[in-house]
Amino acid sequence: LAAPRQREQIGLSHIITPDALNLLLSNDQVVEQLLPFLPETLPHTAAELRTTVRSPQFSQAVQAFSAALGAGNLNAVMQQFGVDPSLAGSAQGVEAFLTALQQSQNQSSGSSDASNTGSSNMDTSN
Amino acid sequence: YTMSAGNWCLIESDPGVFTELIRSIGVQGVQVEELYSLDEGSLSVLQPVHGLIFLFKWQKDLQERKTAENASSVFFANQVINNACATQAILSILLNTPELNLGEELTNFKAFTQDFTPELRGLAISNSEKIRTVHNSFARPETFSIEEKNATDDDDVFHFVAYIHKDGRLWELDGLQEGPINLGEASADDWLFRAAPIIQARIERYSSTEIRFNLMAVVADKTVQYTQELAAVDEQRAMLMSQMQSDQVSGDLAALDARSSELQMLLATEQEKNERYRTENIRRRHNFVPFIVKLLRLLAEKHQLQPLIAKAKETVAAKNKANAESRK
Repeated sequence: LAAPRQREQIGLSHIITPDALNLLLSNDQVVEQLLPFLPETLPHTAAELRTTVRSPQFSQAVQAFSAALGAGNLNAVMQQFGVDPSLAGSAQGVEAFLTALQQSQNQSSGSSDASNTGSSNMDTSN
Repeated sequence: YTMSAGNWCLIESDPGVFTELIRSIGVQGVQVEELYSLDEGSLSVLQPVHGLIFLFKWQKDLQERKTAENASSVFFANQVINNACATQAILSILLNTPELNLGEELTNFKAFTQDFTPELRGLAISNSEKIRTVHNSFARPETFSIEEKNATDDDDVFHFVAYIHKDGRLWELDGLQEGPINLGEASADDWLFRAAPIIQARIERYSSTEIRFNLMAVVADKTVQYTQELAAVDEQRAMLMSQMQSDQVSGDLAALDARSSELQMLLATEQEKNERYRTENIRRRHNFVPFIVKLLRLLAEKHQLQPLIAKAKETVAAKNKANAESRK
């Protein structure tokens, strides 16, 4: 038996960094699109959004999701969010999920507008 | 034998989590505070303290210690389920504090387990539907099943020990021991200050070996406590005002004024803290997965995802290379 490989893989915390969040949340349209994903019982404001993404509870959720993607839940997650697994190519784990998201974005921006997958689950009104 | 008392999730060791847990079980007039220091000042502010909970990373070399033989008045339960041990430490304190309003659930539980052995009590806790439901309400929500990671390696196993005062003695309640450990005589007034050096010694031992730990205190509900004191102070002020004139009276009045504004400040702080706990617990229970996926999609849309992936791969590759070289 070979010794266990201790190679580190990329995780979501490498992607969802404070810098990336700051840049993204400086865009009002982005803020608008993220507000519906806050917990229902918290105020849906830009300030709350900024506090939430900086909270330890959010970081923990990112880590848990990252671990889940790395631990073989990839296909279940892709299915749930309507991402085509074949877009991931040969990548594994978190990287596979990110690659597939990127590819599906490339495709939808390549084809004509109308079907923006990114906002498909945003249109549920009360 | 193996336990089949249902699943208990690991919960976060946090004063906001513990406080809501206690209130959800139906106990009134209690909250949990994290302690950062064991000096006399920090302890005095918290009085009345019903018990202390010391949390630390479990060590394999747990030694059996001499437990008290005649301690039937102390509620003691063995730890039969690892993930439930925080809740068990809290319950041990609550059930040993006679002046508390335990609520229906715990009052019944106490009566029901009165004549049980420590092992049976441990089982009774793990079988309690209500306690388990409240405990598990702090689980992180998952929309898809993640292989439940059991705490098999020591990294994940935490252990809680409670310190209480009862019948003129200071007790250590460690569910992995056979019974309560008698730490000597102590009164209601001095038990905290007797427990402090004992815990301090433990902290120093763990600090030197880099074992993680923290310390919590189960205390009276500060909002209730301060509100009652404020009412009393205001009443006294009103009385003094009605008999004004003498210098003596105005001196007393100034002291009461000062205490009154101090209490109002303390109350405001408690209110803020409770509000923060509420928000944090809402976040703990929220499923952030759709939020995170949306966030990643927005990054892709803004052409930021690709460069972030590339950068992450670089960082990880560099780390792996450094690790490989350090092993050579």
